This record gives sequence, C-alpha cells and structure tokens, in this order.
Amino acid sequence: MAFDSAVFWDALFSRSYLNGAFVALSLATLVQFFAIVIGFFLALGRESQKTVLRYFTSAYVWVFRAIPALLILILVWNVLPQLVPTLRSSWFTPYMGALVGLTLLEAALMTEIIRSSLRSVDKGQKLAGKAIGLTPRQIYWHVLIPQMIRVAIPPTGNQYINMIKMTSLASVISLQELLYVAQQNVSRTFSYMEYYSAAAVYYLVIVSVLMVIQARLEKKYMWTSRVAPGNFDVRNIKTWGINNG
Amino acid sequence: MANNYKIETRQLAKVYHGQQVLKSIDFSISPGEVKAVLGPSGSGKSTMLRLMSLLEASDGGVILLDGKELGVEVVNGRARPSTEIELARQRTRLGFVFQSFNLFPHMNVMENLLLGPTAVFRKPRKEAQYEAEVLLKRVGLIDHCNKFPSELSGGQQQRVAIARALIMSPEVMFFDEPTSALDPELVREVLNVMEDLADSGMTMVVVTHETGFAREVSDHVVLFNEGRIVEEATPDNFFSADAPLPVKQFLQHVM
Ligand SMILES: Nc1ncnc2c1ncn2[C@@H]1O[C@H](COP(=O)(O)OP(=O)(O)OP(=O)(O)O)[C@@H](O)[C@H]1O
Ligand SMILES: [Mg+2]
Repeated sequence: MAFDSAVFWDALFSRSYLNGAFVALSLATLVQFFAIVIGFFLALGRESQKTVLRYFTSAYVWVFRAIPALLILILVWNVLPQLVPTLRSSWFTPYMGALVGLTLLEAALMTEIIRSSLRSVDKGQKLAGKAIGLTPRQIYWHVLIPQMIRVAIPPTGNQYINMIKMTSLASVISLQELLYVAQQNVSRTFSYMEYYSAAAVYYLVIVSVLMVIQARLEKKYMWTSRVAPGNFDVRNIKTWGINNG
Repeated sequence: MANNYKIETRQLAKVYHGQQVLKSIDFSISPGEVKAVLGPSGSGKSTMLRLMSLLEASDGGVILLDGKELGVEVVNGRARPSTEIELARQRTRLGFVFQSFNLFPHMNVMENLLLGPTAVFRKPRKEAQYEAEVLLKRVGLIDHCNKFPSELSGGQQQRVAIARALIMSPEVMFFDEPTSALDPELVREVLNVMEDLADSGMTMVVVTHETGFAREVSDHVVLFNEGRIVEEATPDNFFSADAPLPVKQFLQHVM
C-alpha cells in the first residue's frame, strides 16, 4: 500500500486534527496544573504531624498509583455518574470525565514528586528562614518552594509530556482528542499510515516544544549570575539526578 | 528579678528521644557582653543556642529577653503560649549564624539581605537596599552584591550570613561554630567581622572551637559537658594554669 501524501497533508492541516491536538494539549495542561496544586497539599499532608492526614494522603497515593489510567477513566466515566447523580447531566462531557480521571491519577504522582523535592531542600534553609523571622507561610513561599521547583522541574516535565500522550487513552470514553480523530478517519478509509503518522507529527511537535520550554526553565533555575550555555555547575548534578528516581 | 541581663535562661531543658540533652541550664548574658561557649561534641551547645533563639521549642524552663519571657503572650493578665506568627516576630530580635551558612541559594547576595526586612518588616525596597549596602560595606562584600552564594567562598558566604542576620537589627547574636566549616585561611576574615561586631557593643553568644577567639574577644567563657554548664570564668582564669580540672581536661583534648 503506497503512502498517499495528499491524504497525509490534508489530515495534518484538517480542522479535526487541529481540534484534537488542542483537546490533547489543553487537557494535559489543565490536568497538570490541578495535579500540581492538589499534589502540593497532599504532599504537605504526607509530611504532616497529624496521623489522620498522613494516613488519608498515603491511602490516596497508594490507590491511584496502583490503578491503571485506563481503568480510572472507565470508572470515572461509567461508574461515577451512577454514584453521583449530578454527573448525569450534559456538562459532564468526555472532556470533563477525562479531566477528573486523569487529575485524580496525576495528583497522586505529583504528590510523590513534590514530597521528595521538598525533602531534598536542605534542613538548614527552613531554620535560616525562621531565624530572620519569616512566618511558616513565608518560609514556604520565599525559601522552600523556589528551591523545590528546581528539583521538581525535570520530573514534572516528564509527567507533563507523559500526560500529553496519556490523553490519548481518553479515546475510550469517546473524547475527540488526536488519536480518536485519527481512528475515526482510519475506520472510514483504512488509510492507516497517513492518518496515524499525521497524529504522530502532532505529538512530536507538541512534545518538542515542551522540551524546549523545560530546558529554558531549568536554565533559569541555575542560580548563577552568569549563565552561559554549557557552563554547567557540577554542584547541581546531585539534585538533577532524582529525575530518574 | 531585678537583674538587667539582656537574655537569660532558667532551668532550660531539652529531651530528644527520651535522652535529656539539656539539663536545667541557667545561662545569662549582660547587654554588650560576649560569651564563648566551649565543650565536647554532643554536649548540647547547639541545642542551647537553638532553644534560646526560638528555633526550637524547649521541654522545660524559661527564656527571658530584657526580663520578659519569650514564647509566652500575656493577654488580660493571663499567659498563653505564643502562636507561630508571634514567635516569628520575636525571632527578629535574635540573630543566628549557622555553621553551614544556610544562605538562600536561589537569591543573590542583595536579595538574601532584603528578604527579611521586606517580607517581615514590610520595609520599602529602597530603604532596605540602603541598609543592606551599609552592612555589605561593613563586612567588605559590597562588590559581590549581585553574586549568588554558590559563587562565593565559604568565608564570604559566612560574612553575608552575618549581614543577613544584622539587617534585622537583632538585640542578641548567636553564632554556632561560625568558622568550623571554613578552610583555615578563611577563618580570619570571619573572626574579624565578629570582633568588629563585638567592639560595636553587640550582645553575642558564640559556640566555638577557636580558643583564640574565646581568649581575646569574649568577656566570659562557658564550658559545657553532658548537657550542663560545668564551668564559667573570665578568659584569663579559664585559660590559666590554675583553672579547674574539667577545664584543663577539656583544653588538653582540643589543643
Ligand atoms: N534534632 C535532634 N534530634 C535528636 N537528637 C538530637 C538532635 N539534635 C541534637 N541531638 C542530640 O543532642 C545531643 C546534643 O547535641 P548538640 O548538637 O547540641 O551538641 P553540640 O554540643 O553542639 O555538639 P557539636 O560540637 O558536635 O556540634 C547529641 O547527643 C545529639 O545527638
Ligand atoms: Mg553543635
């Protein structure tokens, strides 16, 4: 079967593909945003002095790390509306379902990333903040969070990029994201190569842009007065490494 | 009650994991006085400093600053423990210099100094910047104000840390082995700044292994052992031939 480049280019610039890409990108971005916010508070709960909070947050992380994303999506889409009647209305679209399901999952993963990032900040930093009279909230805001962010950027970037790809799972709950659009075209025409490779191009472009943004952010968090390309501070390598943890 | 100590502890105690690390410490220091604290490793010197500077809660005893108990608020004649926010405010009156500097690595030197005054006292940036410049000149680092901590030597970092504490206008300065993490050739520049501070009348508590500093700069030397103060003397007596036995034993170990 020959590769029909006309079909490929048509697909690539079609409205439905652009739309699908927008759905994937916006969904992943919203999920990542909410997951970071929720994950931050869950991480505080994991480190809390209060036993109840620790148990609750550990249980949450345990459950959502264990269940496959696909299963979470199916549960949120098919089972949750039976338990929560308000979800049986029109605003609970596949997009909303995917947003809820993927955020539940991603928040658990971000909790662990944020927790280990917070732990990686030297104990002396909190003491130094205390010593100049900062309140606990100011210590988090001015001292711990900026330092935590640097450690969290690489693993969070990975998560975000994974999330772009994971949105394709939401095709099972008929979300019209990229893969779903491609599948529909394929089932109509059986031009596998053209439609799927057009979808792949979108993922490639999106992920490449994100990787560039991540690299920029990492550079911004080098904390030297002169940041020249390739002028990599060996002292940073230790914290960079937890990426693979 | 009618003493005029700057800061004073009474029966200060601390327990870690069932082990009594500080046992009823009575420690006092007059305004403008410099006290050196010596003692073997693990004897509780750092613990006392962290308690006195309110970085950590005690398990007994009281701390008085200008005769007023810290960590307690008296409202309508009734005392209650201070909240975290009230404690933070009290800590601004007490400066602390750490062995490992603990500068904020994500801020340059100027920002390290400005954070306290702008965030805690809500001072205008301009005003705080002016004070920061005065202090950076005083510790000899005005040319480095745009550098990040990772770009400075240990001695420079510690001098920035001292300036960062001073910009809050503390009434007492605590130093926990401020030169122990430094290469030998960088110790002097930090001690010079501390001597200058002592000369300017600052009340200082200095935990140190630098017997030279204790001898030349301090007004009193205190010896710790196993969570207690076992000796207190003027440097002349402390380092003399007829010092008490525990002092001699300790000095033999460190010198
Ligand atoms: N945060 C802590 N948790 C548990 N135990 C601690 C803690 N801090 C100190 N200790 C213990 O308290 C004792 C006194 O420690 P401290 O750090 O005050 O001694 P030090 O006199 O400063 O010693 P060094 O000269 O080694 O700094 C030690 O036995 C130490 O192990
Ligand atoms: Mg110590």
